[in-house]
Amino acid sequence: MGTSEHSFPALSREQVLALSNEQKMEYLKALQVKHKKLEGVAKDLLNLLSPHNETNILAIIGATGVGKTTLSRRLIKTLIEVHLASEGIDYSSVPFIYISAPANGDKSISWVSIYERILHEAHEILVDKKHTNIVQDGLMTIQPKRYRTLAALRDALESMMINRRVKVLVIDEAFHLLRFGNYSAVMDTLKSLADQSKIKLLLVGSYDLFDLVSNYGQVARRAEILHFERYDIDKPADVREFTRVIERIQGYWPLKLVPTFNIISKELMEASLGCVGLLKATLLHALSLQIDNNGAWDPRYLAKATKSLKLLNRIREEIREGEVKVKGAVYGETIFSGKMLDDIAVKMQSSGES
Amino acid sequence: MSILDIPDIFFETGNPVCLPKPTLLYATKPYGVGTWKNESLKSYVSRLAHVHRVSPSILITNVLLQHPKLQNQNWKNGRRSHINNNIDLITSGSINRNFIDVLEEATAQKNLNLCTMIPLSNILSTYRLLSIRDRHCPKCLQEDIEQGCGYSYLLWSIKCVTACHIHRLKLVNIKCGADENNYLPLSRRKLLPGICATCGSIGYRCQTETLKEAREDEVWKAKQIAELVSLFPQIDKHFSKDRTITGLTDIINRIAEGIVWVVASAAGLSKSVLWNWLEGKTLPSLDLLLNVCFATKVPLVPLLQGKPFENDSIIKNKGRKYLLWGRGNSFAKFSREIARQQRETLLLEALNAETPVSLSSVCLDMNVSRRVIVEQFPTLAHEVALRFHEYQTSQVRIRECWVRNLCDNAAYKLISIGKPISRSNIRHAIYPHTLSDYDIQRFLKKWKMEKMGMKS
Repeated sequence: MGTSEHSFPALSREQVLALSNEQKMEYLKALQVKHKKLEGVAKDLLNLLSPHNETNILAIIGATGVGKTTLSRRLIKTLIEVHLASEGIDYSSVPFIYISAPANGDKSISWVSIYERILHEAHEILVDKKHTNIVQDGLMTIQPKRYRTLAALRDALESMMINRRVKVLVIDEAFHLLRFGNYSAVMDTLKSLADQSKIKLLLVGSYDLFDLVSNYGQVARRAEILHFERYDIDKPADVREFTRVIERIQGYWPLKLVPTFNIISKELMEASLGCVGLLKATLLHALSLQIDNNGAWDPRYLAKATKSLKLLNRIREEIREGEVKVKGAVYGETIFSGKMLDDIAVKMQSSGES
Repeated sequence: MSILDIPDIFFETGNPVCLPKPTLLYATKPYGVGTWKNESLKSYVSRLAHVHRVSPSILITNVLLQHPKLQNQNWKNGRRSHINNNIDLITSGSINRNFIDVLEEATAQKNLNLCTMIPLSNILSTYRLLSIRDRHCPKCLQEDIEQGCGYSYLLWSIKCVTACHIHRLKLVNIKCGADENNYLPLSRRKLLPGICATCGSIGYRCQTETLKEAREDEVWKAKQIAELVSLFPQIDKHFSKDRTITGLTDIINRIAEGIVWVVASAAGLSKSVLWNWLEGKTLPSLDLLLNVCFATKVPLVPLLQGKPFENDSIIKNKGRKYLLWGRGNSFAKFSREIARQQRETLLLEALNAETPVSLSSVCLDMNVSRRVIVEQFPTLAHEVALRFHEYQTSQVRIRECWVRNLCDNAAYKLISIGKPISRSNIRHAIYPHTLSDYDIQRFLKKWKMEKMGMKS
């Protein structure tokens, strides 16, 4: 059946069941469910991305597999649709750019490769022929011809950002930026890029990003950290929402025999640490095992579909450390929160009535 | 639609997120379109290359000339070397028109033809319309640089504009006045309006040419052309060849009672030239047309619009006497005398210049042929040429001595370290100086001959 990925939303149940095995896997992989945590972070992100907001460095941090990349990609797609619908098609501008920070095996961060990636994403011409100008003592000269120098690419990048009217630059897998580098040097560069080009920089990554963004006073004033939380098994509301997600995915199961995952939602929540991304990975693996078994389901597949205990504990530890680290430091956790907020709300309400 | 309108279920295919592919180049707008400060296309292309952080020649060669529309043009056959000299970018030929089409498509701009002479191509002759030299008004440029946008005006490219009508100063040739030691190597030179391409000085501050006050007729001519340039966006509506003919006919009828040769001789043209214009056989040249306007006191723009006397309530039947200029002299005689004085001044300046200049370059500056100068000023021309010849000969001798000394020292150095005297060894030995293969070969030949002479 000649079905492309773009036609997945329009497929009926019969058509989904008639897909090839490979297409069924693609189908479930592409399937995404809107859930409360995603919606909450998306709403905050949209407010912070408003042009009237002074924040120009945003970081979305969270556990691995919680859905950060899905959110950032969806955000960019939606921003593009909004841009095209509201302002008409301005063929000369590139308001939104999305890149994934490279991990190229070097012992230190390669700003050249990051800048090149951004320029290529913006369809920039002659990236290997850029030069930079030196203005000194009333003279303007070209830096001696060594193309692709860092300064030349940086200069070209700033010019591109201004002339293409870039509004938002998303750098996914941003923890690659700090794997080997000096934190303050990295943040200096990023802050300067955001200031010079007047763009909003959105970094997406794990809890490691928190140290990058929060430990630098110069940046802290213009930066916000959004915590994409996982679902907590100890909170009934989170359990209900997680169960709803499982039920939704179950409703689109691309095989005739649909396993009853909703009944074991708490166990699945435990196995995926409350992260919807990890849940999806688990279910995808389970699907492949079911397909290999000609559509027959065996609960023992879950043993292979979920992460091993040691790995799971390792991830759990990292998540817990990260959650402790970011407590009190993320967007919304200000002095006006908790009990104090309730008191203030009462005060303001009563003064308003009087 | 907002981000909160995400459906409950959606499909994320993992394909790259991207907008529709943008224009090839940035949508940089040309400055001053619709005003007398209209930017020239060369200046625009230079600025476009600057924002892309590449050189203009690389932008044109590697990007624009790759377009199928420009694939078979003469651009590829050597004329590409003229890109940085620009004159090809503002003419009205078919090559330039295709180039502009490609540039407009690449930048999503629609009015780039207004930065060239294309709007005038059906109205005036564009033959020798443009100046070979780059010129500018230093004060206008300074004002623009202070506002953050130094660029080159299209007006300054027109040959018959020799002054700035705002500051009443003669236009200055863009020529580096810095010491030769301060010249930049080619790889470091920046090609951008307002920047000296030789030494990099911002605002051409290296120039030593003194500002001179312009004559009244120069200021008047510049003003007329400036008004014409400011009307480029509406040129199709208000100007045409037929209207120009109507305007000329009206002038001849009202001022010279229909006698063509009166107007022609007053303006310093031949009768046949004016007849050809009136019959539509040839397009008027701007320079000569301005002479007609100046002689008859008619502004250029109303003439081209076909209504030369629309705003003039005094003109009525002025007759032949109106064409007299000064006391019993015609305009033609007046302009010839002015031109003669100018040439004599330039020749005297060349004769007294610190560094002698060639007679050919002086003729080029004056825009007259060498024959005319030699006929009008035989003694002065001979002195200028002789002075330059002596200077050139002495410079050649000085250089020959320098090359000889350099190579001799290199040869003795090689002998002392036991290396053979070959071309490549000499080249290494004279580092950091460089000499051409010809110089080194000549030295080697002489060296061998001297050695053979010594042996015998």
